[in-house]
Amino acid sequence: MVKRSHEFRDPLYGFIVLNRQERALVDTEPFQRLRHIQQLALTPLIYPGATHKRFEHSLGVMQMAKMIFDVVTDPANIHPAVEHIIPDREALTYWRVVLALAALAHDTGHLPFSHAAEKKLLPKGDDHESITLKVIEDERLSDVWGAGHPVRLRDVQKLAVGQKKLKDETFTTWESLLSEMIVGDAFGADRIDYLLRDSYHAGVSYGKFDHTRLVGSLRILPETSGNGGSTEPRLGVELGGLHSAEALLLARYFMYEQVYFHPVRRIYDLHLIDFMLKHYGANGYQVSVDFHLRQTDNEVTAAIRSKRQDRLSDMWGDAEAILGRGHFRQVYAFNPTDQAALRSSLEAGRVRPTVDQPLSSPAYEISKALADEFGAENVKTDLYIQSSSESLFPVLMSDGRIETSVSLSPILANFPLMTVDSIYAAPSIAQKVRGRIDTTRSEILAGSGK
Amino acid sequence: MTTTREMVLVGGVAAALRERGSWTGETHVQKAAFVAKVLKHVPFESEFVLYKHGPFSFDLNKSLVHMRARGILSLTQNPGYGPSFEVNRPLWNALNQAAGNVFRQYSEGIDVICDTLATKNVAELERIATAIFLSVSHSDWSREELAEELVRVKPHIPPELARHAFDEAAQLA
Repeated sequence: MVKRSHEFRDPLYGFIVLNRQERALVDTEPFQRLRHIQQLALTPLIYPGATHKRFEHSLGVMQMAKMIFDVVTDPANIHPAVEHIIPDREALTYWRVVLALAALAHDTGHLPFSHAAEKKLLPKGDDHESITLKVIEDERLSDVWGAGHPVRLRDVQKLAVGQKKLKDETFTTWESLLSEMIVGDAFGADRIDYLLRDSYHAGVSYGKFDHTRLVGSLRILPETSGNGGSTEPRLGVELGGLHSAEALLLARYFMYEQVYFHPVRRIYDLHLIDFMLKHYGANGYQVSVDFHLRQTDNEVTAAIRSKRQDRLSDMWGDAEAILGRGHFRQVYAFNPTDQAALRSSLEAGRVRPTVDQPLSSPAYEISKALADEFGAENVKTDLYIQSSSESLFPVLMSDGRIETSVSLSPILANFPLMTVDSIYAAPSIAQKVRGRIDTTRSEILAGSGK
Repeated sequence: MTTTREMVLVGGVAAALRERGSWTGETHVQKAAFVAKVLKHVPFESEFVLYKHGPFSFDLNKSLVHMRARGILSLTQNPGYGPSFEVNRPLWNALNQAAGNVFRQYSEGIDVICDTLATKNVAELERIATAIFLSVSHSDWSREELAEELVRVKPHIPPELARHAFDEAAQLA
């Protein structure tokens, strides 16, 4: 007898059940490749348990996306003001199939070691989402889209990457909501799963939150009750889920601060980027599906191991930094007092920003001053500002009114931004560089240094 | 990362809205920047797509976060509404000066747009900016066709308000 469903055991959700069409996608070469892409790049060098792969994360995103879909389309949960955008039963069946397949496929474009080297390796304008779009179109997946419930390929693409990455496409309100269920900044299944899964495998509790309570309280709501506000439908929560939503955003904040922005993890990423830039050479990473599918962490790891044996190679330094723990050492980290000092200097015109460059930061100014003395090759700067801030969503009150999350939650209203502003130096000179920063930092940030 | 020039223009729009009594939430800044770019050719680097409340730029969304992180903008919270932006004038002035007073070149166009949009609420901004977006995207369509399209992409907007939005958009053009 042919099995109609298939199961994976999962540490977060118990069993993840797939139908034959979903199983067909899992069995394809692009999806199986995800077994060889670390979710968190070189993080296992700091958190040894964090060896999970994009494969199980993608299964988890499908599971979570289905859970969200089932809650928000339950007739008992549909707010009267948004009834007009909810499709009929037949169309809902179609969109649930599309959502599950898009959730499975959403990470198939990831390069080796996930995000680490993506920005530097790919041509301007390309990213892992643009490769995902190509993978979905590839003939290796063409049988999947008609394997059970036939789906339109473009619909899968839209939900897998969202409007942000398909700028020429017009999304209906319903399509926007569905893509938010996968890749949304606030309540996307991708974010919910990676926080829970990364936290579980890293062995830290920062990423845990009551996801069943949160998902159970999700609703499609008009953004406001009117009175001059927009009534455009968005994903929000019932009041009872507000604390779980706060916990999700706090979990994200703490996971960034403690795991994703761990200073040693960040410097391993910088060494890995430098290694991969040389590994892929002048042509860079080719944005073709054939080339992409041949590249996994395994090929890059083998190259790192090989180059570590070759002291004459210009890739030896980064290979040694990664495998021999010879990584650069952090010599400067973000400090709000320094930020305030630099801001005063900028306001007074003592430090002048370059017009077509990012606005100065303390690490940027200090490393610029250090480069002459210690050599640019011995000093690395790591600057990052979070790319979006999504703590504003509608909340359904018990009396039926809609309020904004930030008006109900002081935590959400005052959420800090996450930034990285660090300098690293080669191990042999790190102590000397630290000393130099100590003695010159004030002058540099005051705009009176060299 | 956002360039200094872009921060000057975005901060300039936020300040112009604020001076005119606008709430100056993200929707106000997004829609005013979009209209200024399309109708007054203010060279924002941000690309706009039809998304949240009409024309929306993910680039501009990111710029606003970066500008907060660098202290050029700060957020004020008020019960019942979303957050609003305040501009750090001394820092913005220094950036504008460093950028060769780039804002002066475009301030007239920005002022015209902000004169009209500053006092609009989010629902009105959503309709007007979406009407402008569709008019530019489908310049050969009739007003009736455009109004139908507006209702199709934003079904929470009633047809009569959709039609009226094109009249308001025409006054701005």
